[in-house]
Amino acid sequence: MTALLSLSGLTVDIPVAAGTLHALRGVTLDVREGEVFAIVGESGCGKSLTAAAILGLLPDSATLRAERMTWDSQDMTRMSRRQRMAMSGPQISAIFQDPLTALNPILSVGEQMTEGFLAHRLGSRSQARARAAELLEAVGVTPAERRMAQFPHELSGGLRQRVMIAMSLMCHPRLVVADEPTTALDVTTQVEILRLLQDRQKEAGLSLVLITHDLGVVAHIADRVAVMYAGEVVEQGSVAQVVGSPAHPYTRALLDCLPDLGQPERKLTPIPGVVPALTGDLTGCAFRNRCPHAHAACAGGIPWHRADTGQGYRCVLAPTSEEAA
Amino acid sequence: MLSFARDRILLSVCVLLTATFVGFLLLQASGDLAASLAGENASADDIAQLRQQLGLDQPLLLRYWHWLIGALQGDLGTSYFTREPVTGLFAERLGATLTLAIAALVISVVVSLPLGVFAALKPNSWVDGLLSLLALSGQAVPSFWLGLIFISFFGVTLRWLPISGSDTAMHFVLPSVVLAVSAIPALARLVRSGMIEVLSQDYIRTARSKGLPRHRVLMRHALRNALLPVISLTAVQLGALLGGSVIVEAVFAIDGIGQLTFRSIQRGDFPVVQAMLVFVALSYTVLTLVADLMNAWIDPRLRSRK
Ligand SMILES: Nc1ncnc2c1ncn2[C@@H]1O[C@H](COP(=O)(O)OP(=O)(O)OP(=O)(O)O)[C@@H](O)[C@H]1O
Ligand code: SF4
Ligand SMILES: [Mg+2]
Repeated sequence: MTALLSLSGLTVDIPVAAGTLHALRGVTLDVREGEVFAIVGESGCGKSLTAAAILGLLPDSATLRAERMTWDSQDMTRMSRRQRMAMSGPQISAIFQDPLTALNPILSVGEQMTEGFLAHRLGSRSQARARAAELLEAVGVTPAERRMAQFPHELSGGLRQRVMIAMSLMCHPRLVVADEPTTALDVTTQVEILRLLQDRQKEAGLSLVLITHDLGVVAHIADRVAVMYAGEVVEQGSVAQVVGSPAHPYTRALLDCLPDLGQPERKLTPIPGVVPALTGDLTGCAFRNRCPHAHAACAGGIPWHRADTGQGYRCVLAPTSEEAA
Repeated sequence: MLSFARDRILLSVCVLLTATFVGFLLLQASGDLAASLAGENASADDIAQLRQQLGLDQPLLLRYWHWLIGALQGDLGTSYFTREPVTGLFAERLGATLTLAIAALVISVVVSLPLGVFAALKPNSWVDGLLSLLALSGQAVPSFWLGLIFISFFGVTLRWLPISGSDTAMHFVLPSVVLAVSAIPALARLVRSGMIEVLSQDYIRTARSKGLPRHRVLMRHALRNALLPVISLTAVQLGALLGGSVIVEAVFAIDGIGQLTFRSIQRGDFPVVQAMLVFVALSYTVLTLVADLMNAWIDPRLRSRK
């Protein structure tokens, strides 16, 4: 199956006071048509920057390089600014973490919902409003006509995120990138929003890149998952593979942190140690200061193992030894 | 929006009444008006007579009341010196000051907005640095000095523009530019800092993620949000300009409100000074009201907050 979005060796450098921050250090992942692709990892591992790179929203100061970065087999690194802009909305759209700050406080829901549709000339103003109303109804923001006249501060957090979801679907995108879409919401709302997102994704048949640091969510709704650590993807595969038989020590450590997967009684064990600074020259495995299996070879080049099943991981441990570990 | 406007207007009326009353009190408290008006050689009888003539022997509250009734009917009393109605004195000079103030304001806004936006787009670049430098010098240069430089260069050397009086529109060019130069730095800086803050907001990222053209993101999403404090500052600046600029009016020999006030304060012309106070209070109140209404019109959060 060919990938809708394919990233290989994606690096992003950001100049900071202490030098250059190697924020992404060779991110490799494929998102297929119609799947839910999760990206997990601790805070600061580069999830949001990966999303920004996909969305073309990296900060101006950042430099992006990639061995391959293709959308539907077209090279994204060679696209002009205008071509990229034309993709934002009709091809790729976004849902952000905090719906209060992500919506403009002084524009009505209706204005914000329709402006992308109109800017891409997908139809008339009344068609835009009709589409917006239809989507708002579908995500449970009712009565749609009245809601469209309202402003973000007049809606609850859950409703705002529903508006964000509806808004992201306005131009019939093929891929929606959702960066921690439920983190800012209370727990009951989180479940509703995730379910809604999943329903919409299925119904529209679109691909969803879901960024989260909750492996429970991943196990629930994702088809495949990439685990990120210190700016790189350390493991990738189907959810059954990665959650069921994790190959990388970091993935295993992450799963150990999870109280409700596995035995219910198991205590939450935070991973000891800290993520290395990404400003210096990093060689070897970035996880080795925290890895229980770290040894001399981990300071050298780290191979990417890829099994026939599609599961892959970056570690010196051979595929067989992982079962023993 | 309507109830918001009604509340704001009621509040403004209260502010205005308080301001005029306090002003009245302060002016009364500033000394024995009759004595100072009568002059050094006047006898006690003369002073008493003058006091009675001017109505200064009546109780304070009563006098305020009479003044207020008169003021509401457009009668602000007569000048102690010229014996002309105060309203007339004002009306004659208002045109010049108003023209000057509005021209200066328009220039300031037209220059500050693009300047601030431009600087905000590339903060800390050389363009931004140059703009900060210009802003700083604009603020540091005294108006009288700049006025004199303008007069000698554009008026005397180049002979492009008239240098004194207020007969034609051309007469207002130099003085309004001088006034604008002192108003621009604060405005441009506010636009810049507002834009920088707004541009880092999440909703700007959302707007960009929709593939909107750059100018749309900038104008519709960023500038509109950044404009709120700018509108308030503009109102205050216009208020100050309407009070008349003593210095600029003096340098360019424009007989405006500033000159009138200055003279009246000097010679204790109480009715004129009191009228001036009302005028300044009224301009500030009205302008603040207009600014608040404009802001509420832009920002729905202000409308719903009580
Ligand atoms: N504009 C920026 N300038 C400098 N550094 C940045 C910038 N954006 C992100 N970073 C740094 O890049 C690294 C990765 O950031 P990113 O936001 O992608 O993390 P994340 O995985 O999304 O974390 P979180 O779970 O907290 O959202 C972090 O160390 C962050 O401090
Ligand atoms: S490469 Fe070494 S340090 Fe890194 S995860 Fe594998 S075993 Fe641990
Ligand atoms: Mg993030």
